[in-house]
Amino acid sequence: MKDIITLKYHELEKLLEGIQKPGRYVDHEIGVLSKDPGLLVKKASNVLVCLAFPDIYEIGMPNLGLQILYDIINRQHGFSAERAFVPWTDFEDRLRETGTRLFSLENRIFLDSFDLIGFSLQHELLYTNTLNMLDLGGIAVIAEKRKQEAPLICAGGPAMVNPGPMSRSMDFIVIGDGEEIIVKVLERLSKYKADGKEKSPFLKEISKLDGVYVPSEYKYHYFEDGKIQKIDPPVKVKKAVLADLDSFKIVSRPVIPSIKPVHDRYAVEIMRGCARGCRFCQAGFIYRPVRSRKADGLIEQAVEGLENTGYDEISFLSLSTSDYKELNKLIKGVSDSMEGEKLSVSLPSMRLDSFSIGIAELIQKGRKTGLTFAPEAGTQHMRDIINKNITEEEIMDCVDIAFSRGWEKIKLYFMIGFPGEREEDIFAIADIIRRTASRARKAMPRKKVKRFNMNVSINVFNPKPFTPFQWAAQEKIDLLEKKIHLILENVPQKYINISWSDTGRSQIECALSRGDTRLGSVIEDAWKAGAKFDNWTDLFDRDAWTDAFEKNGIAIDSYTTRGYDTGEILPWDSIDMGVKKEFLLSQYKRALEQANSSKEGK
Amino acid sequence: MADHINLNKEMEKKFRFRFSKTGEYKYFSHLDIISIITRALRRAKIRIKYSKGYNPRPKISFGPPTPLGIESNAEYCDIIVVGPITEDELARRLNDQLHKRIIIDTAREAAPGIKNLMSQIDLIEYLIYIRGRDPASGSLEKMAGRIGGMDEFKGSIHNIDSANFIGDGEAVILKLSGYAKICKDRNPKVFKLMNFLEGFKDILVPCGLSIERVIKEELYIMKEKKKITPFEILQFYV
Repeated sequence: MKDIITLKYHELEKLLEGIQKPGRYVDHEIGVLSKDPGLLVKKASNVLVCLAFPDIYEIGMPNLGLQILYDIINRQHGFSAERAFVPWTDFEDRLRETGTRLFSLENRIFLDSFDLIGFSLQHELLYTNTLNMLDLGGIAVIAEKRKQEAPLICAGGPAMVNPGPMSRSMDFIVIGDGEEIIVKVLERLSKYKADGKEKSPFLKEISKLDGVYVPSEYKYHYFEDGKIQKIDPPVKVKKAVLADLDSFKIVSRPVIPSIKPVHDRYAVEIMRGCARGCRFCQAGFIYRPVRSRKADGLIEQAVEGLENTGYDEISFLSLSTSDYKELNKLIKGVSDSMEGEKLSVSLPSMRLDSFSIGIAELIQKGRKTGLTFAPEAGTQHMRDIINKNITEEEIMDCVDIAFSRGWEKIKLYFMIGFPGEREEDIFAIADIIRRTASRARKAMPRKKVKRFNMNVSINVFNPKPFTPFQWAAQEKIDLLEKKIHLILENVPQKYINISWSDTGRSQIECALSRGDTRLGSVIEDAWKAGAKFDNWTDLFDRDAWTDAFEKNGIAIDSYTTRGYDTGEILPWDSIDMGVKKEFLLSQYKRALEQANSSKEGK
Repeated sequence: MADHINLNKEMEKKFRFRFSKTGEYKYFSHLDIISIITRALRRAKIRIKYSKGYNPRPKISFGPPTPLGIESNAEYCDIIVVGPITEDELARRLNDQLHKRIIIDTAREAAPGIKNLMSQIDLIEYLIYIRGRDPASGSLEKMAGRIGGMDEFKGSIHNIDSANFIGDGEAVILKLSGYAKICKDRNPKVFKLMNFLEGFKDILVPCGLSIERVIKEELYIMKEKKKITPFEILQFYV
């Protein structure tokens, strides 16, 4: 095995002088499992993996995927995984000023000493941070330019299901569930390392596995107008699917962050996939099929996890928790086992109705957090087009019950810019916000009305790969801005806080998510011009992006406001996500029909 | 029912324990350390009493916060435990659940009526390790003389042990105790360590010296003009 170079503690102490939240850069958390690099280095077949998360520690640590892979790899003989997060700008400056390469948390191993670095990409606005981490680690950002001894670089996660834009930087890309595929890949890597073989035959071999896309095996040919002429070879990579969630126990000894993360609780996945079929929602399609864990085994494992970690809050995760059939049993089972302890339970992605309000009351034991609804659209007509199955009546009924029983806060999510959206749909968003607020205030005990608080979030629709709306156009920025203003003008701001997406940032996100391999150089140029932390409002640098598109002679609009032809080859056609294209198309056509039918009716 | 409540009452015990946080753990804030200790208590199955009311809080309180980046041998914590447990068992079970960079060295049972830690503490003692090319020569005296000139800290420093440097020619230790709270007839200011260290560095640099390490060493309570530790005060409460 090659030498493993580490940063000494006294050097770290010097680097951390005056740095904000230095706890982000040290480990020693409870639950760390990495093996001693001094022992690993002795055997050529041992594999040292860095799980890299291109966001800061506090955001990365609650990520369940990271904890799952860390656990799986470290529980295998001969493999060790360490973690690395993107440094905040002050620490990046310090590293660059002092010429220090980025290192992992556990043993402070410099990134270029690893055999494999795997990035987890949760959204497209982390692409530049990914390049930045590679560069800080002393690794060339373009795969072709990396030497034989450089680590292998791979990535997975929802922002990699369209492998095109980042394929230039990746040796391979993992599509789908990581649990089984990671072990298969590492076993093969171990063998190749022991035999002293090079990267390319290894990549060739793993490309045969379901869930592994090797960019160097594919060639994209383009027409002059930028559309794809053909993808060569025309063989699709099938996503990796973990058939039975219960075949892997939940992580019962996760790494417990020592500094406060964004979600400070024990997270348990109860279900993967969603059967709701909202036509704009990428997660709803890429994580199919729907698979549940059995409550019986889960109760025991969750209680064990709570005891191992000492958390006083548990969160049951899924894309649609109300669809989990054994929810009552699960909550009751865990609460009963933890009797005597103060335990809060949180249920994100809960579809609220009178039944779930009952559950919420039960689990919150007097402490009432806010209610959250995602009507997404203002009219039933629009909700039908996007296939969001929630009616205004359901929302209002729920508001009545909850606010009469002591709730004080509510959050509503909307999206604007959907295909077929009319001006009246926008006015209707303002209407529904007002109506919900007044209904809630009426239902509240009079003394409490002053405490009423409402948060509204307005997001811009981004057509995403593998959804029925993947062909749809994103709306032009000026029109989106107008729509946001229309809503703002028609909603009383007194007790309603509205936040909305930056339209310029949504445009870049859209271009990246529907982009092709030509965007590799655009991302690199944007990063070189200083783009990083693109998801942070105060750090997003739109000019860096528009300049990069211009420099490469690529029109942003060709990925955003251009509706894709239903007949054209899509950049992500090299991937088989399990959901048939014909099905997505039929759903898209149905949506367009629904949009048109009302026009005719008018 | 009445018996049951009585039984619970008998089971409640108050403890005061002291722990160190060293090495990497100096980079975790006071609030982070509170979470780390609270989670460790739950892992150790040491049940903490909760306050009654709308938003129950655990009966746990800590001494004055240590600034980020400073190691400490004198972190104190008071808790009320429900259920039988001894002093040694408390320390042992908690240590089993903590990383070795946090060590509970002493746990003592305390009378229920004992005052809140934060309000009790009068003095905080720090050890400042100083290193230089030749600190044993005249540079140390020079430094000691100049500390006296740091006027803005006059009202907040209780004592600087500059006469008895401990040293072997390489590193010397300066013992400094600063006031943790304002006391009208004694000190008008609270000692601010980080501000002091900033100013202190300006004094050290021209003397060819630098700070190697700072440790919060002990907390003291003033009792009849004598310094006593948070453990020694326990004997005054029954």
